[in-house]
Amino acid sequence: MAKYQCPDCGYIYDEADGDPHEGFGPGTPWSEVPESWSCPDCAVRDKIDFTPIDGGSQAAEVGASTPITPDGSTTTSAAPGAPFRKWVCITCGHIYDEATGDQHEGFAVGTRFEEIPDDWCCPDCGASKGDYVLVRD
Amino acid sequence: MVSHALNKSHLDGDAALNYVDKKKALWILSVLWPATPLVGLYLVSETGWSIWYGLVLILWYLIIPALDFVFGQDYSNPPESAVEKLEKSTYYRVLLYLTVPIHFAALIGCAWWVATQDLSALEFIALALSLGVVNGLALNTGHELGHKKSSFSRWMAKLVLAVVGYGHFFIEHNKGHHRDVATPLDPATSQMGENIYIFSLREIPGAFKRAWHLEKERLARCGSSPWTLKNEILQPMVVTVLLYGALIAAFGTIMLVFLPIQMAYGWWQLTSANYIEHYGLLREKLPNGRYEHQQPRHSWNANHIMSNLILFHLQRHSDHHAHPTRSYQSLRNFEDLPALPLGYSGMFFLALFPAAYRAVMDKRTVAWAGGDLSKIQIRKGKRAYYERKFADAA
Repeated sequence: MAKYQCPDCGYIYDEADGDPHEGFGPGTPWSEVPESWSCPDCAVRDKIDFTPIDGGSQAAEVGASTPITPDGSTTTSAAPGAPFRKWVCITCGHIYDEATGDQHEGFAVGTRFEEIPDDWCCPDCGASKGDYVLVRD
Repeated sequence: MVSHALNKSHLDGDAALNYVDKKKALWILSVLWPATPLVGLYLVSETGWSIWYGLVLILWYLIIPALDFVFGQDYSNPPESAVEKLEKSTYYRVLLYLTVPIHFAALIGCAWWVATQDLSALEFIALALSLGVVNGLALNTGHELGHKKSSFSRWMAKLVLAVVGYGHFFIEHNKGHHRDVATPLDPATSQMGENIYIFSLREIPGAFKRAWHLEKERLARCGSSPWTLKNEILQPMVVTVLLYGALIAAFGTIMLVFLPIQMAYGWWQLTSANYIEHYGLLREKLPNGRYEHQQPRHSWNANHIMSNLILFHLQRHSDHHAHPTRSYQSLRNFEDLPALPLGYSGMFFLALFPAAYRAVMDKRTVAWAGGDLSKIQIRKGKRAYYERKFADAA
């Protein structure tokens, strides 16, 4: 049984428990949750935005330019040798590029986003690390 | 730059430990504000002066904007490392809970006064509108509580929304408005060139319809018809019917005039808030057919300290819409947000005069879009007018 997490507010849909209040009984697989369904806690992320945790897989490939936020860092951690990624601050557009790091902020070339401390803030606008979303090319 | 500097300062790791929320005690103002009509009644009984019936109106439309002017804006943010502690603090939650019975007390107290005292028509209306303003803020309290994840907070939200007879807000706002905000799908986002009176005719019925549809859909998944007490629109509605029914039974037919006036003016406060919060703003449609995510720039923000302190930070609306479950005490300012020139009470008053409102807000909206009118929601039939007016803006 897999779990899926809302990247904005942290709500978790656990297939084992379902969400009876939302009308999904225990054991309801993620694939049976309607595509139009939004996070019941924050409503600013939809099913397609959820990130799989504990062995889940996102059936539909997320479209280009659809961002995924990094809150569940264990789920989005890059394997050694994986391609470098870019993250964009949703409040001001500042981009953190793993390939170049950020010397001014003290992050060496190749520093993975998940290696950055959770209390780090956007150097341009002060938004938190949780306000960054993954840029998918 | 202020927020930037503050947020950077925590990198040394000590900021969270040393952080003191200077507004902590001041949030009590948000709890006390709903009791203002009762304070007015006390002053009437002490002095005999009729003017105190309108105490809320005087404070809301004159004194609060004046204090906003005097005390100015607060750009400070808590350091991110202190936010977890802020969010977990019981103190801020308890303040919200305490506000709920005060809304009930204000309604019942004013109803009792109207039924037992001899009021002139003017005094009667002043008191009903005063209560309406405060009850509009029951929607604010219900708003903050409804975004919380605990079932106790959500029940408190439904109860306080019942005071003003707007229980469907619980569904409509959290699951509807937040999902669709700043898109043409949202009846609670106003368009540039749309005046508040026209907007209200779209917003009030549109909000109810969307709420009902969302709740019906959820209950259908649960295998139930919408006509059940599991329906979270009907739950607060039942409380409203019982509460208002009891007031009519206890205080007589005068309630049939008093209750609708205060309720309508309470609803008007919500309509005013919705009207100013996203005026003209539009999220871009992506190639895959979805709208871009809700970002801080899709809400008008206000950092005016005085009005924020009586509104549980509602005016820091940009961060709220980007992250709806973040609590009021943790909401942040960001640089380059679309900013309202006045706090909400001043903006609500301005909105009553459409030409003045447009004179203040249209140019700001066009500046927000960088002069590109295609990035703005514009009222049907007004686009050609605006293209002429802002021909040089791009």
